[in-house]
Parts: sequence; structure tokens; C-alpha cells
Amino acid sequence: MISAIATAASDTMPTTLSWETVTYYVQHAPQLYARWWLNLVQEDPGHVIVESVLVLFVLYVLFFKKTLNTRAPALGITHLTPREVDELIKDWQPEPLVPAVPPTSTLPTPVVERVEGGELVMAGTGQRLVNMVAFDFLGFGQGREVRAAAVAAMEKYGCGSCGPRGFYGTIDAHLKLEDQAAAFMRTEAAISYSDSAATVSSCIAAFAKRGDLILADMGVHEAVQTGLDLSRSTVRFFKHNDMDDLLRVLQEPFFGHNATDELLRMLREVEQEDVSTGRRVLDQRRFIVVEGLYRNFGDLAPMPKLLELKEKYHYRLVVDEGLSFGVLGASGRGVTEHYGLPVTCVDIMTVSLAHALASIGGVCVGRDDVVDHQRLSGAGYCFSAAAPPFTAAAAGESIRLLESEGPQLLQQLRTNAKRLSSGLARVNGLQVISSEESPIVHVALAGAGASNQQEHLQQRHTLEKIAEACRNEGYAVAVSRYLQKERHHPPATIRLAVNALQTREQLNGCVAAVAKAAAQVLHA
Amino acid sequence: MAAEAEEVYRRKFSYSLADAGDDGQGVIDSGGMLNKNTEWLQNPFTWAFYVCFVTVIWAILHMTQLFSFAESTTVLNVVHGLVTFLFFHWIKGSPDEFTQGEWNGLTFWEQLDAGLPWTPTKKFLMLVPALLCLPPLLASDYDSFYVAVNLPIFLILETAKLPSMHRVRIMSINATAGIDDLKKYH
Repeated sequence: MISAIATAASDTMPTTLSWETVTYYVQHAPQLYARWWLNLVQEDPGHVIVESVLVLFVLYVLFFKKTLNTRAPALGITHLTPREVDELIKDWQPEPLVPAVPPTSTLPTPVVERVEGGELVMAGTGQRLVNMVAFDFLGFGQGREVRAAAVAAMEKYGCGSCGPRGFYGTIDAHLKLEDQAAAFMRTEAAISYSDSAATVSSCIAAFAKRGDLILADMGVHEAVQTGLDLSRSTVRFFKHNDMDDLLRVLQEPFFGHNATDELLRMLREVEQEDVSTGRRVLDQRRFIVVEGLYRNFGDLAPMPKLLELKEKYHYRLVVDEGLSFGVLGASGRGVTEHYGLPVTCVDIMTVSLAHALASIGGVCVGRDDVVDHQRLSGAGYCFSAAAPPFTAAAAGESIRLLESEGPQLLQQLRTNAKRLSSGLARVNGLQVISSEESPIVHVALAGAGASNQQEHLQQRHTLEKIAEACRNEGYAVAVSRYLQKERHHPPATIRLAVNALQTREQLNGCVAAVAKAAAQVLHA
Repeated sequence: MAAEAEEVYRRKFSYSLADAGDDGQGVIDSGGMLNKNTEWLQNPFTWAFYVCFVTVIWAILHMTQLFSFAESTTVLNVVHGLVTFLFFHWIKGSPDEFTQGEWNGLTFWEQLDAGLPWTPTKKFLMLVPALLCLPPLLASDYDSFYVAVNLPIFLILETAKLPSMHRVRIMSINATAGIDDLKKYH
């Protein structure tokens, strides 16, 4: 049929140039075009297809796809009509500045009026409670020396430092503190931050950037989590403790969680991914982030295993020694000393001055290059005012005390921790989830499994009642509180802090008080 | 429908928002900021320069008298294809030092116009390969050799420019470690 049309059109085609010819072509244009085209389809189908694709593509882009006028938004300007403006305003639902948080406590919050030695004086009632909540593990906060050093520095320098470290804020007290911290920890250098939470969050974000990989323990506390967020890295979490494991922790307090097994699985997974994607190890910086002594669990990071894994898989190890500094190890050098490891085996180590050292602020200790990098990249160092000289002096004095009196105090601290922890372990209805040498003792309800938000809240209520009953017995204990935004909620616990100055009677009394309170609340 | 879409679009982009990073945080990071890496290409004078530049390159090729018309336009298409593929679809990131690596995971094309499809700039850049592909084919009367050289260039360049290819890394080719990982969040 196609050929029939073609021959029909060609038979009568005039060849000379005349008025008739033009008329003929005009009149027969459609047939002629059809003939030419059909011939082409027959003779050279490739030509037709390719050309059609190209022409149709051009037409599609030009005419069928509506152009988005992005010029204005790209320049940050879009002119909306008044109607559109009104609609936008009408549709706008303001989000609350602070998300609604379900009430975590129905009981009145106890208010402390002042601290006197190892006791708290409560506001209103004037009741005196034994302080089982302060992280003043060595009792430096109660002693005269640290206060005297702070007062002397205050008299010499005044109150504030008046600027960030790099901007007229550096005072010799800071430099002295850094030297002292580095000398005590036997590292090359140290860098001081004015806030203890900002230390770890700045430090992680100074080294890990977008595209880097961080493997972090689920149990890390909120400041570390902030650091992970600020780093913009890819973050994977490995399990800190599941509840089966908690039982194992009770039996095996020293080396007690299988976090490394989960970590090992994850490390292998990343390694396999490297192979399957042809990715080299050096294509991204990789970190393992753990805490030396977990604030929310009271157990230790299994350092020997972690070191072995990080060496094998080429990771850098970041350890937040916020709590373990001045607490673990024979002379208080932290978790590395506890395990008998050289301090240099940890790549990045952050230390808090706010707990055992009874001051404010934090320090990152490590190699020269690690410390120097933070002087221009540590956000908390660059963009926050330097620590007041008197807190730096106080921390320096604490380090001096730790050097001279540390070993005896630490021995006492460990004895106390063990006493409280073993005493509480015998209390009916409760279980101790922290490890034996931890001066932070976490006590959960016995058999409290991995729970949802609702159960968590119920457990909290029960624990708060127990804590209140304890306060009535004369012992101030705290129920641990976590932010709503935290990714992995640790179990609800009563948190007790031991210090080296507490007497045997106080600790036994505390155990008795908790036992009595638990019996009261749980069997009511 | 189209008018409605336009309105939704206009409302959505009455505030400045850019598609950067891959974790949702990138959107916040880059909010309100121009991407200096791609901004210049939105200017119609740049397009005019582009056209002139390509024409001049062709003129130089033609004036050497080493090539026939079909050959010189083919050479032009090949060179243009290689250069634009490299700069638009292979090299990632931004030479702008002050972006904190926000664009590390995105090619120039993906950064262009904040990742929005069918913008005037993108339409212009999509027309260029099609219009560069046609002359050698017409001049050689669709000789199979010229089709085999020129058509794949057209197809590859246009495929890479399709909106559905936004952020797609086929078989992890050209993927950035950490940003285009197989598994991102756990």
C-alpha cells in the first residue's frame, strides 16, 4: 500500500519550472512530503528514527516541559501576589519553640538551699541530707585547698577572661592548667575548654566531618551525641547493653558487655562494603567513639578489645573520659591506666574538669598535632569565651592534689564504691547495673527489661517515689533524667554518686535507706 | 493543573532552600545561601558566551582544513561531550572553600539551580547536545559511523541530565565515600 501511494504521486509529477509546476507542488505538498518520507522510512529507517528522536527531544524540552522560573528564588527573591502572601500567612502553623514534653515527674522537685561539706541543706524544711548525688568523687569540692586557689586567682585576675582563647582571652592560668594536665596525663599537649560538655562535642566535630564515618556506642551521653550530630558524619551506633547482657554485667562486672561483639560485626560490615564498592580505607576518616566510664550506665569501655579492633580495622579511637578521669586507675589517669595501657594508645581523649576535679570546664589531651588542630577547629575553643581564670586555677589545684593525695583517695573511693554497690545489690526488688569499681551506681528495678516509652515512664515514677522515700530517710539520691531528643534511652535508674570522704556508716545507712524505701514503695 | 503546580512551586520557593548534602542537615546548612559554584551559569550572557565559544572552536577546527564538515562537527561534538560530562556529571563538590563540604556529594549538574528540574538554565544546557548532534548526522546523511559516534554522546549526556537521574549513582560508579555509601544511617 505504501508503495502504491508513492508510485501514484510520482507518475504525474511535472519536471519543468513553470507556474503550473509551482501550483502543482503547492497543491500536492502533503502527498509529496508523505511520499518522500515513506521512501525514507523504507530506504533508511535508521535515519528516520534517529532524526525523530533528536527533533522530538528538542521539541519536548522546548515546548512540552514547562519551564520553572527559578531565577528569582535562586537569587533569594520571589515576588508573591498579595493573595499568595495572605494564603501563606493563613496556612502557617507555628511550631512550638520547645516540643511538648510529657511530664516526667508528678512529685515536687526537691530544692537544695546550700551544700555543707558532704551534706545538702534543703530549702524550706532545712532538712540535712547526705549528699549522694554530686559527682565530686574525691571530695575536692568540700576541701579548702581548691576553694583557696579559686579565691586567690579571683583576687589576682578578676572574674571573667573577657574573650575567647584566641582573642585576648588567654591568661597564664589557662596555659598553666594545660601544662599541668598534659604533664599529669603524660601526653605531649593539652587544650582547655571552658565547658565540659562543649569539650567532647567540639572535639569530635573538629576531627570528623561530612562524609566521615563514626561508630559510636549507643550508651554515650548527650554531650557526645551532640558532637556526633555536629560532625555531620555518617554515624552508626552499636549496642551498648541489651537486657540479657545486663545480667551478664552483674556476674561479670569487670569486662561486662558485649558491645565489642556488635562493634566487630559493624567493622566487618564496613570492610565488606569497602570491598564491594571498591572504596579505599583512606577515602574517609573513621572513628570509634566510646566513653571511658559510661555516665548513663556506670560501666567501663572494654579498652583492650577496642584497641585491638581499632588497630586491625584502621580506625581512630575517641574516648570521652569525662567521668573516668580522676576516678579510674591507681593514680586517677583514667580508663587507660585502669587497664594498664599507655595513654598514647587513645587518639583523642577528652577530660572533664567538672566532676572529680571539682571545677568547671574540660580538657582534651593528646599528641601535639591533635591538640594544635583544635586551636583553630574546636568550635568551643574558638567561639566561646575562655574559662574564667579562677576555674582554671581551681582545676590546676585539683590536679596538684590528685598527684599528691590521689592514690589514697582513689583507694578509699574504690572501697566505698564497692561497699555501696555490693550493699545495693542485695536490696530486694532492685538491681545494680553499674560495674563494681564505678563511683556512679545505677540502680534499676529488678527485671526491668527493654521497655517502651510508657513503661520507662512508669518505672521512673516508681523510682522517684523510692528516691523521695530515701530523702525522708536522710539520703539525697537522684533519679537519672534524659532528654527527650536522645536517640537511645538508657534504662530508668536511681543514680547514686560515691565519694572518697563518705564514711562506712553513711554508706551502710544509705543502703539501709534505699532498702527501706524500696520495701515501702514496692510492697505498698 | 500546571498553574496549580506553578503556584505550589512559587509558594514553596518563596523562601530560599537548597538541596545539599544527603542527610537532611544539608538543607539547613545551605539555607539562604547561594551556591557560588553554579550561580554564574544562570546568567543568559553566560549562555550566549557558551554558544559563541562552541562556535569559535568549530570555526577553528573548520579553518584547519583537515576535516570535512561532518568530521569537524563530530570532533566538536566528541570534545564537547567529554568536557561537559567531566565537569557537569563527574567532578563533585565546589571549589568554594567556605561551603564546609556541603556540596561534596553532588555533581555540578546536581548543584545547579538547587537541584530543581527543568529550569531555564537546565533546558538550555539540555538543548546543546541535541543541537550539536544533528549537524554531523545531517551532513553525513546518517552514515552509520557518524551515528555510532555521535548518537551515544547525545544519549549519555541527556540521560545524565534527566531529573530522574538526580543523585543516582549507578553501580556506585562515581560515588563519594561516606556520602553515597550503601548504608547511610543505622
